[in-house]
Amino acid sequence: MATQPIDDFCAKIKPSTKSAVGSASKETTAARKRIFEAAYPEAGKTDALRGIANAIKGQDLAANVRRAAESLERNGVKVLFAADAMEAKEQIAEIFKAEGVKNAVKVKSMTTEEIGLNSFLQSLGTDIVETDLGELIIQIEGEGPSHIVKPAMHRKRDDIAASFERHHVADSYDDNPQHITLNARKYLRKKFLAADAVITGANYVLAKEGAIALITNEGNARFSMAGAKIHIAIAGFEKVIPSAKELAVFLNLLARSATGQHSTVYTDFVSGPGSAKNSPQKMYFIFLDNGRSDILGSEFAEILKCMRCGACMNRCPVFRLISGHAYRATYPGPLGIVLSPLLAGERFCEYADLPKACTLCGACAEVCPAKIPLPDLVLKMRDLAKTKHCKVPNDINFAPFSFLATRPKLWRALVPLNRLANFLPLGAVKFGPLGRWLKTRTLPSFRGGLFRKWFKNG
Amino acid sequence: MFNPPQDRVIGKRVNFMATCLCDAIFDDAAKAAVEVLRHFGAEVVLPKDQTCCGQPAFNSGDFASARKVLKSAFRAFSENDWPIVVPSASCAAMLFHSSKIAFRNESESERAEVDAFASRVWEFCDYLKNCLGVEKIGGSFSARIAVHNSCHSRGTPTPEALRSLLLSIEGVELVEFEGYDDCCGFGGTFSVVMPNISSELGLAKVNAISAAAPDIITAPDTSCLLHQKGIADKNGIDYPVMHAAQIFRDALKNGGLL
Ligand code: SF4
Repeated sequence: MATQPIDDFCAKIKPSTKSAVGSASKETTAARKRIFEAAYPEAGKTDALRGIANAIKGQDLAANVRRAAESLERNGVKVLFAADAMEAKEQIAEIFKAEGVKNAVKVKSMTTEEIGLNSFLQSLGTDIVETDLGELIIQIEGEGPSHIVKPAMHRKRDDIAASFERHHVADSYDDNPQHITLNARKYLRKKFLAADAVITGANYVLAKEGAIALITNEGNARFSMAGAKIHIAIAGFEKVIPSAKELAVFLNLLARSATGQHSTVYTDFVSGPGSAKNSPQKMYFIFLDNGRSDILGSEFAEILKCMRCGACMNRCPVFRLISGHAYRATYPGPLGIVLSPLLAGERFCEYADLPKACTLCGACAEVCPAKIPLPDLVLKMRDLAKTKHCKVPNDINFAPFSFLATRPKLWRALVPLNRLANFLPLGAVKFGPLGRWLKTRTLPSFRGGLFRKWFKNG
Repeated sequence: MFNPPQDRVIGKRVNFMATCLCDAIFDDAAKAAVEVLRHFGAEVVLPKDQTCCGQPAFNSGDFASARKVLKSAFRAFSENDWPIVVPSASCAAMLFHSSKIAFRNESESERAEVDAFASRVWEFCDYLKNCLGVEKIGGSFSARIAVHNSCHSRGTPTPEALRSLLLSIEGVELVEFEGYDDCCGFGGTFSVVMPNISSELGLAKVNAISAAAPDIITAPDTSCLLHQKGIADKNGIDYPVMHAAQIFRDALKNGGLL
């Protein structure tokens, strides 16, 4: 039997990972629901706001990106465009080389995960340290994020405490949550002060104002700015919105959807290099394409409206069970099974099994603040995988089925014969779709044609 | 999410689409649905050339096969333009929502045909309540019932119709259980493409429902119940399932109304 990597992952996942992801995702979904009900008790209001967010993100993106680039430049930001991950990494390496950057800190950014920035910079001898607690937790273990908002969702407290001790973030084992945070804080403080440069993403880029919005709970974005001389921000170009006015809509949606908070603790706006001595004297902004232009021109354009809140994965029955690492890509969950294969470009087929990791239950679409029709996109992805002739494990050949289902006479003649199957030892079947069904389930008795017979006589 | 078209065809003369599962396995659910429809004044015909809605192929990404099967359904139901009542939320959603995706790149005339067909399709409970205007099933059925919504009824009038119709029956008590709107992991072909994930979700659902100790588990779909029941049986869990139509029919019978 061909193995199905995602399904196999589910069978082998560590119980502690499973319970960590299961409970954290369920709790966050519940918190999201509570806070929206508190914020907008009127029926339909949350939904209306989601609709507005979708419409704003649907506005002429190319024009807004041009405008954002102009405004940023006007504010003294050096703007670069990167066609793909490699170009973006080289641009950053070049800046580092020119400016003599040896130590850098980073503020949580999925875009930098997407391009594999850390390992690239490390291979060039740069010390790059994650300053978001969750990101630090996974960085010291050499792991990737398992969730786009809560990168260490899969980890339990005791195991984090042990890892902190092992990697000298803490002097000794201490799994008191407050102490874990304090230890990270102490460790990071030195890194903040030693950093020549800070790398951030951008939750939103305001085209009119030429500013970026950084949304965090830990204040690490703001703190990194205090020490570093250079600030490089990088984001997919879809992060551009027309102006600060529209940002209000997103700020009402993002934190509530992501963590169940009315607002995150810090919302920082950066509109160019600082004038004060203790803020970055130079700022760069990199607009990353990396496959996005192709997506924008395709029937998957809606996925570019994503605001990376993670609500869809928190709500997803499959994600809750298998954790983000099962998806073998930067973006997991309902978002990821659409986006990751598309971003893979020529290597699309390597990820063509991802869209299969979905029961099509539609729960994600109910919570997505950008109102992205995720299940419809998942289905179109499956169609695309088929059209591209990707080989997907456990895929079923539907030619015999459609042959039969398009021949009503034959259908009527054959369906009643299924009653004969009641006398066959089908339980012994171990292979193929039937074998996979029977491994964990019984079969009902077959009663082919009996309804039609009744209808005719009744 | 899987919202039906705005202006749907209404009428008391209807086509019944049994679905391939009822045709092959759950004959009694289909029978019950027809008896209930007739009881409430619908005139029911059963176009004989019907087979399947194409959902298994569609959900697997084989849109070409799905289109062939859908076209065959269009032909099978072309003798009149009456509503088409389906005792399955997922087949209904396939016919009024997903069919449009399957045909999105086809010719304008084909897409018009799909739209026209889609606007005739009603899920059984939705049809009873919102087309026939049934508010009260009547009769009696003494049971504590757990309702599994069927994910393809998300965003449709079906869950509300199903609940209110059940509650209109004397003796029915609905039981709540944890994760009532979570998927049971069936997902059609998902159940055999991702068997471990599907089974684990299924067992969690069966356990959550069993913990509420209902007498009956019902749904507007036979498929989710087939999966849940299969898992319960394999694990030796007592799990009596009935399609919603069977409960309505039995209630009417118990009340001497049918
Ligand atoms: S797809 Fe929607 S729900 Fe998922 S991360 Fe993006 S915005 Fe959030």
